[in-house]
Amino acid sequence: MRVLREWDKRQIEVKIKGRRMIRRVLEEMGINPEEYVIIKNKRIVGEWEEVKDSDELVIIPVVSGG
Amino acid sequence: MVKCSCGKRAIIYVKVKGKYMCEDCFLRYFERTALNTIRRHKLIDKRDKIAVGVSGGKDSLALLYFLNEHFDNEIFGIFINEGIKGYREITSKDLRKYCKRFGVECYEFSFKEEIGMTLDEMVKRGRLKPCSYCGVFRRYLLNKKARGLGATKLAMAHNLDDEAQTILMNLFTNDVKRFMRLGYMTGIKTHPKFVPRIKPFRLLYEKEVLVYGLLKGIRVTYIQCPYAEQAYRVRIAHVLWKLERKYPLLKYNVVKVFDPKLRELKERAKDEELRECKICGEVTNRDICKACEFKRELKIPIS
Repeated sequence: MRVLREWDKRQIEVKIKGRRMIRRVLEEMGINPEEYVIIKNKRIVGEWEEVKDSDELVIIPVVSGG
Repeated sequence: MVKCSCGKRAIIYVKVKGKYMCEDCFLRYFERTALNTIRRHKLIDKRDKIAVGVSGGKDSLALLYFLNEHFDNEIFGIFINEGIKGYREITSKDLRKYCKRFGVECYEFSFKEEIGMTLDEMVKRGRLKPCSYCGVFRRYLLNKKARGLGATKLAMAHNLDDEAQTILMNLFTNDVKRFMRLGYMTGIKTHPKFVPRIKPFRLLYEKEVLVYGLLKGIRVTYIQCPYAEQAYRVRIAHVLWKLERKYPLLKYNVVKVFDPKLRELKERAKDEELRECKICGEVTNRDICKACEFKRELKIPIS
């Protein structure tokens, strides 16, 4: 699955077998879901949604600026 | 699939309501909360001319959009360019783009022209942290320029997260005077030179403001102020994020539990006099305002 990190514009690949909850994927990346908004295939989704390997995620930090 | 009570797919969990919500129900909740805040605390009067403090960030653009959509008052933005290399050039680009899209006028002022020095220069010369200079001069200019442009209210996009952070910062530093900057409308006494500041998003989480903006097509370039990591606020914010995850509604409770205390503090400070700075004539609660004090320290000629 392709994951775009909005804060450093880095695109990373995360291997997903079957389906996984976004919350788990983020936690494994060391990301607190509380601090981010997730866009899955161009739509805002909750951390409880599931993803599969063909999905695309964008992770947007809630805090920006100063 | 987690569903909203209306049956559609939920996109966000709204903690204050204890409900999962779809796009439409969330937008209704968000706007209703901000409108209720405005109504309940009499933040906007029909005759008000509203200046919105804008930075080009998601919060202030969401506020500008929201106010412009819901109120017939004259509304315009005030942008203060502090002079932070590699940062403000980017946010100001976003700001101009969205102001044009919303059809809202935005007035720009800079530290360099108005104060005589950019923030980057101040940081090199001064002994204080960047946020100290930035906060004081930004507040000073926002008030002065809002008044100069005829505004009767200055709307700020402070959200629930900001407010909870400020409460804790002031508590940890035992700074009672700064508590007066808190609340839905700041200021205790009126003064002809002081433009009251209003915070329509005070009861909305920062995450909700971001989601609202995204749903309304506001997607700004992600960028962090290069000085942010030095800020006390950012450290408090990190702690609060972790705690909020463990104890949902923690930030909301910090703000809510503090509100009656704030009313008490403001009541007690009612006799405190607002006066004009002996040097620049701007409104202050001291003989010489903080901006002039900082200018002296930075050896900026005071006019």
